[in-house]
Amino acid sequence: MNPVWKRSWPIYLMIFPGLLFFIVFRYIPMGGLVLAFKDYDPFSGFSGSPWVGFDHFHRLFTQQDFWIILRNTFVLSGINLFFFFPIPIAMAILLNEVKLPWVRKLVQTTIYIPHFVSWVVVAGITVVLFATQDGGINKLLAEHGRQRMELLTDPSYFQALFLTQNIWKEMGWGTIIFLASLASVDPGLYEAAYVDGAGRWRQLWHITLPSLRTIVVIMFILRLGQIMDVGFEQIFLLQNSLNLSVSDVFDTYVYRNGVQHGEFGFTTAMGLFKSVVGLVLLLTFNRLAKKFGEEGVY
Amino acid sequence: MGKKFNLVADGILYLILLLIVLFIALPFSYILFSSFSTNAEYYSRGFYILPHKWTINAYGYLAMNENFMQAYRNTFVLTACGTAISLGFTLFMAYGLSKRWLRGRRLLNMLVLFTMIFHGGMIPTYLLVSELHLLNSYWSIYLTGAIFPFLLIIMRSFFASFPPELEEAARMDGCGELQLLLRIVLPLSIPSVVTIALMYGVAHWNSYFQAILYLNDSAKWPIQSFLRQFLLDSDTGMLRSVGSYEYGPPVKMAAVIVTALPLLLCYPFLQKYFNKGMLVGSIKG
Amino acid sequence: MRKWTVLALSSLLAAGAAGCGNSTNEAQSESAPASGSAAASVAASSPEATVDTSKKLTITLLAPSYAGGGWQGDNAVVQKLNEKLNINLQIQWVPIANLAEKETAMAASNSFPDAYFVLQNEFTKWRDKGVFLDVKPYLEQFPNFTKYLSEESLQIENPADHYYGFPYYIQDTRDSLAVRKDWLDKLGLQAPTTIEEFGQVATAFATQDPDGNGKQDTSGFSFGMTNGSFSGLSPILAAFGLGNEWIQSGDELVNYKTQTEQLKPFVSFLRELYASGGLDKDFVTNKNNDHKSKFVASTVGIAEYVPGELFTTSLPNLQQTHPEARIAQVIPPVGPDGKQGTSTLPMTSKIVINNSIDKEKQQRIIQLLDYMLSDEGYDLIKNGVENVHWKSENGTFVKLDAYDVDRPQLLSTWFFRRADPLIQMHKWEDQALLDQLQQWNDNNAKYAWPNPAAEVVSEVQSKLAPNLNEKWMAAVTKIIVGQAPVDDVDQAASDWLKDGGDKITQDINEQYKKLHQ
Repeated sequence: MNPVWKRSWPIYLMIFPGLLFFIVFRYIPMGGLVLAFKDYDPFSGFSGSPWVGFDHFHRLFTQQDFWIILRNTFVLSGINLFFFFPIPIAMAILLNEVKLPWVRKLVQTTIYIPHFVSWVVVAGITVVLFATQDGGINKLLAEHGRQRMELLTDPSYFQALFLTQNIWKEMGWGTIIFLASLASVDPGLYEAAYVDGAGRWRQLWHITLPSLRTIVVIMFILRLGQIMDVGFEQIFLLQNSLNLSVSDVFDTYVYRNGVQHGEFGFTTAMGLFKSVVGLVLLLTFNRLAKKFGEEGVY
Repeated sequence: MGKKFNLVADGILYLILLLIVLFIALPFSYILFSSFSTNAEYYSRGFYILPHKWTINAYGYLAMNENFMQAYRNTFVLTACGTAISLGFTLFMAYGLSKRWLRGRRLLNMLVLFTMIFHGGMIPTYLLVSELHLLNSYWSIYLTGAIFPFLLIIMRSFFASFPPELEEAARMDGCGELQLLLRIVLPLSIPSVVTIALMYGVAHWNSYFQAILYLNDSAKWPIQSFLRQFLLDSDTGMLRSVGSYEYGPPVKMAAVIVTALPLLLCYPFLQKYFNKGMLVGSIKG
Repeated sequence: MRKWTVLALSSLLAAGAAGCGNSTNEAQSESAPASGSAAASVAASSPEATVDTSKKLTITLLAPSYAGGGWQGDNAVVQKLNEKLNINLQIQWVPIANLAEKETAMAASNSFPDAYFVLQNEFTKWRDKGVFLDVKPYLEQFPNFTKYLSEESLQIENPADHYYGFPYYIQDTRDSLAVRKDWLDKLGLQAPTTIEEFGQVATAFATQDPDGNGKQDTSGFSFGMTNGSFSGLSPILAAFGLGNEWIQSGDELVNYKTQTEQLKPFVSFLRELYASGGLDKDFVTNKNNDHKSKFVASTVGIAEYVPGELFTTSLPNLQQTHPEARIAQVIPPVGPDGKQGTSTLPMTSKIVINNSIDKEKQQRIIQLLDYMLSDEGYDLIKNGVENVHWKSENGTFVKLDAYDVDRPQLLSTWFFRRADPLIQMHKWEDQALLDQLQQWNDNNAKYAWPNPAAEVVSEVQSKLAPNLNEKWMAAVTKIIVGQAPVDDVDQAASDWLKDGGDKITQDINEQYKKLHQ
């Protein structure tokens, strides 16, 4: 037997079930993407529904608020990428520095909890805390003779509120993957550095941070692929008539205009548009990452 | 590791952590403690931490609710089986794809990555599930969500960070690939395997839409399908006080707590795997 | 240690593969031997409908579900229906939020159940695709449909000579404004009858401490906003002469968003109330039912309610913290031009029968639905089973605990029912309560304020309206909270028209004329 093949076949065998999954459950349904160019009628099926060419896309691009929606989406996505994304990394590093095991466990468990609270409930607490009249914070302000703040309706607070909710709910959850990475760092490296007289900062700089680099780059690139997804439920629940100018994003737009009326052709087209944008960004940054000697995602 | 306790540095560190814990815990305590409140207090008090009057009414109500309890049991089955199946598919495939020398590796990686970005959508997937006669069976849920490309890629990169010498050494000893994976690589990857298992577990635990779509019998649905409806859909007055248990918003909060509880309880047990760094190191050294 | 972990892991995998598929026992016997007595009793109780029930049939039925979900397994009501009609009824409950998606998927795979509930959008889209059975030919043989549902309601959304489904009854003038009577009494006020008085009462509730706790922590009234339209505000809109979405003006239908003459006093009214505190400062963030929770929390004194819900759920909750709380109805207040009205809800959802199943089964389903409207059947789906969910004692009816646990009324509240305004009220309910509800209903019924275009489904509208409405609402909200001048109403209206509202208006008018030729 060919030696390369001899070495490879067990590996191909291991890959096979997964590959089958991707082909059957991911690639076969992708045929449905033709709906993006059709006026879908469930009774005529995928092939029977009439072609409409680029009508759905035309409807999106000629939408007068298209640029506002796109801008809002990118702004919120940018906030997630540049302000939220580093937080779990920082948190993992902080926790890595904690030497008392019980403190570490306690903090870790506490920050992990909110991941299991659904957005509806988060939105509920947000109102209970931030409402202008009955909100806890404003009641406190009023009692001390301060001006009430329109935290939920003033568009200038929206992005901060969005970020705060995200940090509260997902910081701890996001930390896990980085903690797992740190857990596989050889403790011998730290010992050696300590013996060499490296202080805490130098250990952090020369051991901890480099060991996170690969995973951070991968996570960042994968996130870029999802740049158009900014958390539909969260935003939908936080949206109101007064903050619409900054809170209307791609997903809420598609929800209003397609999903609610069962227009599957239109929603498929919108999904396709999102995917293409994500793909372009992902490929660009993956190439960039490889230039800097990183492994990248493929 | 440097064991010296630095008063200033550690002081600041612990202060920051304390603030973070408060930031997380205060809003959460509202959910937790309002589930132990009476309806009256919930409605009249706005934001509060400790109730004046404690009651386990809400939990009693849930225990009496057959739909809730049934859905809760279903979730345990779905999560255990779903996670096991997902892990099986993912670990083998990720291990295979972590081999840098493998021919076609780049193509396969691209195939996987592509599905992270492009999705066929709900209706074609439903048609497929229907064609495969998987409707009404839990297999529809296990199989349609068997691999999350994101987790596959993460796992692959964990495996890829293994030193190639390890593989060579094992091969010298006459180890086959399967043995290498099961006997050496997996045991050394416990932190990452546990992480991935946790991620799958939580994803399966939180899934609701597939069940609603693929299973016609609502008695088979998981807890999240119930919880979503409980929290989101309008209350049409069909839920009333049962016996001495009164229905109201605290019951919803209690449902949130009970739903999250098993995952909260298992976390501390999994934590030790994240904190252990010696496994890989002991081999390398 | 390592070995054990591996062992555990692999056994977990094995267990997963072995024990994970044990949930496919869908096989149901299609024709069990019929119990002769059941068949006979059907024939006896409804002599008009002579349907051969000797064969036991499995009937699948899809119904929407809301908070709490549907029945699991065999509810006593299902058993009774099964026995009575010699069927094997299998109900698929689908959360209302996912109903349209699930039915579209079913449409795509041609796997509709035998009978199902559809919303307006799907009904009108699919009506002419031949998937729904025309039930009109059966109405003579099964008289309960015309007896307990009006002929007009059967005609809704249907062409003249075909009825492609039965209507899901909704009481048109269901919702009513409620006010805190004890607050009125405390401040020496009367329930408002005009818009002016309404404003005065609301402001007084905000400024004169009606709950006597020494704090300014109450407001007059509140309402919500969903999908770019007001909810819980209809009597105020009507009082100013605004349309219930559409209004007849000369020969044409006009959208209320463009009635600038009427909008200006309306918006000014709300703007003043907002400034005085009479309107809840947080109304902008209210979702569907938040104004009701605020009423229960005793922070708001006036809110629009479904009266049945108010008396059975909200008032008892309110009285737990405020035992002195009393409620009075606010008759739709009279506006500056003498107009008054209350939200009139359209009856747009349908119960349809699968057109592709065999004739015999279709007939049995019609028999089932007909039975659900009959005296005996309606009693069953509304009140439950005797001696299980209720019992009679010395001529009065008493509810049993199983009623609250089993919720035997689900089919009647979520799926199909008579034109019965007191649908949520049961035979054991206190007569005084029933009288009071009847009174509220009668008071309200005089002020119907219908949407003339409720039946019209316009594709132009569903494509353009969602965005336009959101934008219009954003502009108007800004005016109400004082961030923009009242005259901006003109701008909001003309933007709405310019950006597509004129096309919507044109299409709605065309469709409307086609429908009413």
